[in-house]
Amino acid sequence: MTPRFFESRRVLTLLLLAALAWSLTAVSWRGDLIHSGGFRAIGEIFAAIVRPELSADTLAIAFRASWTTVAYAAAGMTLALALAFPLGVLARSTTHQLAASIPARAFLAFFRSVHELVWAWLFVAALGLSPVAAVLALGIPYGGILGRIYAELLQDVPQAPIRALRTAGASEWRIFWHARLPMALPDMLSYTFYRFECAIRSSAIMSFIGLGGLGREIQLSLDDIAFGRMWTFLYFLIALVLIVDLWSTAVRRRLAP
Amino acid sequence: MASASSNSPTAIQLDAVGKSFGAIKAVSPLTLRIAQGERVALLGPSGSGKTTLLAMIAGTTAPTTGAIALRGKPLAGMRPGRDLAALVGMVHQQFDLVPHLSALNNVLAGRLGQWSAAAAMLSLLWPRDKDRGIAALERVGVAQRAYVRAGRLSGGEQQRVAIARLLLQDPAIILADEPIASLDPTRAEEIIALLAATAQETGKTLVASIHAVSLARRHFTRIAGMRNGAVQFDLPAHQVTNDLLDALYALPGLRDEAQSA
Repeated sequence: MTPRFFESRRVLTLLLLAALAWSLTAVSWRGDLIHSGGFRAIGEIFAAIVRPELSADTLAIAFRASWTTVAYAAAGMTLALALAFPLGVLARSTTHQLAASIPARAFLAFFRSVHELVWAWLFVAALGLSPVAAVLALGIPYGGILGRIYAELLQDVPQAPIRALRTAGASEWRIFWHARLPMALPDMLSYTFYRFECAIRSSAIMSFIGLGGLGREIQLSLDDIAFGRMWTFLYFLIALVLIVDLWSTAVRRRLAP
Repeated sequence: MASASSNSPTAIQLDAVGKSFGAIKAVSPLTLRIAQGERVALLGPSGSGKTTLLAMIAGTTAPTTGAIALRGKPLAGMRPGRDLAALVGMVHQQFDLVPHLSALNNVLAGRLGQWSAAAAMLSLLWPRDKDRGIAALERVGVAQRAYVRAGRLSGGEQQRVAIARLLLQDPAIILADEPIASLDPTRAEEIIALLAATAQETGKTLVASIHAVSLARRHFTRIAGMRNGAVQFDLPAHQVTNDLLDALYALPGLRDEAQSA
């Protein structure tokens, strides 16, 4: 047996290596790769980890900004849920409803294939710097992602209880409410909470484009080279994510079978 | 095949019913009549075709050959749904409850065939036909566990809930596929006694596959022994001898030696 040199996997490896080699030539390797003050700035940023600024003013700003960030995230998630639940339910592929499943999947794919920042650009261009733009920019892609996961979770539940109800004379929608949804719900909730954490992070990012919140405060602190203040806001962001995580754990424990 | 209830109306009629999975013959063509109110135990080693036979009677597996009629109605072409559910219901080894719902909601699911989709949805919040559900749970002895999630019940309690669900479905024929295989001996006898008493009191027909010979003798009117997809004997329970049972469960090698000796 002669080794097959032009085996597709080997060709792909060579192509990728060639692409890597070419990309190295595209980088300028002279001293301007990292600007001269770069290392010093990184050192200062990390030195400030243990010295967050805790003045009353900064804390007041941090609480207000956290509230804005959480409010955008919560409103965005509400819109996402309103999109994801009906579309996810329709998108689950069961043979009896292909006609509804294909368009539902197409919508979900469209919603999630565009990143929230791109949606944000579109809506800021259309609506200006309004909170509505941020909520739409968060809610639409998150709805697409959640709906897709809901469809999968609703499909992958244990089949035996479903078969049992079918032989007891129940049709698909009755089975949906009495077996599929209750069995998938804990995982659906758990994933929703995870996406809520992501929404808080995304909401902070949104504020970089001029919608208030923790992201904008972080940006302003960086502009002022006030690393201590920046860490205060970052710690608030971390705290928000941790709170959602704890909340999610508590809810999941209550829903365990 | 003479049975005490041979003059009762026919509940289950099998005519040359067989099932093959590809080249493998699960059930050789067999003809069998079970009268209304009979309690038939299917005995036989694992792989003898008991489960396949029950699945064919339940209408969840189509036979390869032959025809099945339940109370005179041909099963072929009947889709799962209200009409089939009124004829035949099944309990399984694994109980098949929805673990996240309360025992009561699991029992009430036996009525799903009768409800509209909207009623089915609302019943999760405000249980519908609740009195019937509680009565069924009382009947099987677990009414005090009505609001406990099914996943938190013991195996014996879960099987009782599954039987209560069957009581609400109210089929004329109850099938049980190894209903006690995952229970301890005490729980097992309680469940079999409960199934038999339920069938007897409501005049339902019961067909159950089990491995416990003593339980089959005590609680059933008729015993059919299956081996390699064929019925080896089919007798009133009191006529089944230990020799017949030994031959039924003998390992193939040992049996050949016994025959040649």
